[in-house]
Amino acid sequence: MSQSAAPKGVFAVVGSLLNDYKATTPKKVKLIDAYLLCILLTGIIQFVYCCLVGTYPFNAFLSGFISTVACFVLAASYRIQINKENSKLFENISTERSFADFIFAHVILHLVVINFIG
Amino acid sequence: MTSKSLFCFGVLLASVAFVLSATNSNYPTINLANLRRVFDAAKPYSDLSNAFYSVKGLTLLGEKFQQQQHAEICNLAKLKLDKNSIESVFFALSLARSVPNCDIPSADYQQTLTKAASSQNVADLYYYTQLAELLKTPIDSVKVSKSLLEGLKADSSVLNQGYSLHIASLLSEGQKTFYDNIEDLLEQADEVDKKFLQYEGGVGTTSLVLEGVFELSAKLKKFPAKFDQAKLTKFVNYLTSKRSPTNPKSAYFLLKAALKLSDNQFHIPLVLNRLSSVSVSSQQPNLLISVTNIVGASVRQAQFNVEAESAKSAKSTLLSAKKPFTQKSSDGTTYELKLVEQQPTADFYTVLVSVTPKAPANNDKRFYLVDNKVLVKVSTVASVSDVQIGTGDRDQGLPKLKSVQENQKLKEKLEADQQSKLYVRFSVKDKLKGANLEVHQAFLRFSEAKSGREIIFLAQFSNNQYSADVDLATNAKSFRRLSGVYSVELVVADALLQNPISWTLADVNLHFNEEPSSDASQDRAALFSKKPEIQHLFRPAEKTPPAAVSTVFTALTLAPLALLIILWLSIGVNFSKFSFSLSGIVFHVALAGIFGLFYCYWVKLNMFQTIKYLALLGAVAFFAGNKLLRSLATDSKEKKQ
Repeated sequence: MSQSAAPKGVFAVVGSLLNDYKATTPKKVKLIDAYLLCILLTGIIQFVYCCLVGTYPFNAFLSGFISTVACFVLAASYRIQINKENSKLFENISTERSFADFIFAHVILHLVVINFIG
Repeated sequence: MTSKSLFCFGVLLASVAFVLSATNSNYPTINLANLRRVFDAAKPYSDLSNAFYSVKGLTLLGEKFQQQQHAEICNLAKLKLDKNSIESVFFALSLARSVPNCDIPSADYQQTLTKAASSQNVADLYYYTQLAELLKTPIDSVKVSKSLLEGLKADSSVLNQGYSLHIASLLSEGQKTFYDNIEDLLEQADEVDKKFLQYEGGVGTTSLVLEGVFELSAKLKKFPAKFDQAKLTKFVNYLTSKRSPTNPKSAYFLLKAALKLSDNQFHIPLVLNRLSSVSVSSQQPNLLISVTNIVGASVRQAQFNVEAESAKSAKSTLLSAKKPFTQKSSDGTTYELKLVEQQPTADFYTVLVSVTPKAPANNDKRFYLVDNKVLVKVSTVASVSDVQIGTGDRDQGLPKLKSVQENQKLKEKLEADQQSKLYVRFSVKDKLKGANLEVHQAFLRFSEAKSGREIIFLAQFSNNQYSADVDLATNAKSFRRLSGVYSVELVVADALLQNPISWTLADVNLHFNEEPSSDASQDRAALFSKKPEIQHLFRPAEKTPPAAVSTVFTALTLAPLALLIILWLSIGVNFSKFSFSLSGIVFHVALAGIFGLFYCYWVKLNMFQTIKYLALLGAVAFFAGNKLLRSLATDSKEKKQ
């Protein structure tokens, strides 16, 4: 295999992966994935700020960063529950029930985050 | 390095050493005069027991009683006789027998005597056998030894075991069991300081047991193998250390044991004492010692050859070969030896002495010394020489020192201030041998006549020379910063020196700076003055980054939100399922309200207010949401069907 063949192969694989994703993923899940990506970027930007400028005020940084991490975890959990491929695992949990849990968890999470942000 | 306490300590040490050396070479003997005093103190007799021990004791010491005393003793014996007690009968009969023409009718005690013969009380059996011996009546050995065994089973105290030895020595058979008990009994003795062996009950009991051991061994003609001379020495140490017993009974048993120890067929301990003074020298070269038995009397059984085995100290030797003492008195108690031939090195020497019986008794192994060491001391005359004294700046090494003429004071007065150091150099020599000496005490004493103040410094010994460097800066406190004329005195002393030296070397005029401002009074004023007000200082806020940076990052963190909207739009978000039912609207409004509330909480509300509003909004959102999601769920189910 030539040296130039490797990057091409990588692009091919990534391209096919993207096509596959676009074709097979339900729209609902795609929406959630977009949300996850945005949250991930927000968290990264916060972290970069912290590295460049400093942690002061530390509690504000912590609450912001932890909030993004927690949001990501909750959204990921929600995504797992509404994914059809996992429906066998969550047979008695409807998508609406998952959404209600997601909302409830968010309310609690943000109460704590706001309390901590100072 | 200063201090009187060191000086005192040195003096104390020397005196302790002196006391030790004094006791070491004076081994105590049992003082018969003391015992006689105890026996005499019991007079006039009022009870049988004291009368018995006193009369018997005095008789053993060789006292003869007068006619009148005989009558008194006889009357007491008759008067105080308790017919029912074997002890009382024994005392009374013994007393009556010890004086002429004093008869107690046998009808008075015969019954008690017969009864005691079958008693199982060890003390009663002891008095019975003693009495039977006195009256020359036969003892039923089998019966008595049986009762004695029973009695010991009931009460095997040391005293009872001691009695049992005495009883057994009067029996004609069955003594073996009691003889074998001696080893057990030895184990029961308490050892004190690895020097004394004693029994509970004190000197009386210990003496009783010791005498019993010798009596029973004499009867069986062999001495217990385990009872060696080392053990016996410890018992002797104990008995001789208790020279004044307090009651006639203890005194009586101690006397009996002491007499037994000075005449028996097994072991006769001998006591060595130094009679001459502790110090020997070429002027006084002789060592005079005494060899006696433990009551301090001459040993009648044999004549002795007394030899000095060696005389050594830790460093040097006084006698290298054996040398015999010459007998000094005809009774064979005192011996003399010329210990010093030429002037020896000054030190404490231990002389080891051996004693062997002369012919015809030279195979007699009974005699041995309880302590064969005699301590002597060789002292010397010291001279202090090469005395130099001087002062100099403390930062500039040794200055040129001035020599001081022997036993004279330096004519000129030395000057010194707080920046100076006073140097003294001298050496101590043995006047007789010429060698350099290291003495126990070598001090410099500073004394000021007016205040009577004294400060003492130690001199250090190194390279055969003594030196004392007194730094006046570091020692200013010891002088209490008292300027004035101090006289410097050299003190040299040692237990081995015949001439302790005290020599005033010089006068030195000391100038101390005043204490660096006596600001004590200022301090006191400052203590009560108004203090500056204490302002509370808040912690300064930490530096925040410039506004531009903050704004940029705020925008950056919001950017993903924009991205999210773009992505959602591109994916194709729709609100097709949005129901404009009441519950749908209420739910979304309530949810928005909750997040609005959180914003308010962040900005102005407190936790309690927030929780209150949240409960309200939460309840509304819950019910609305419940209804909305339920309807959505049923919708999707219907679609599937």
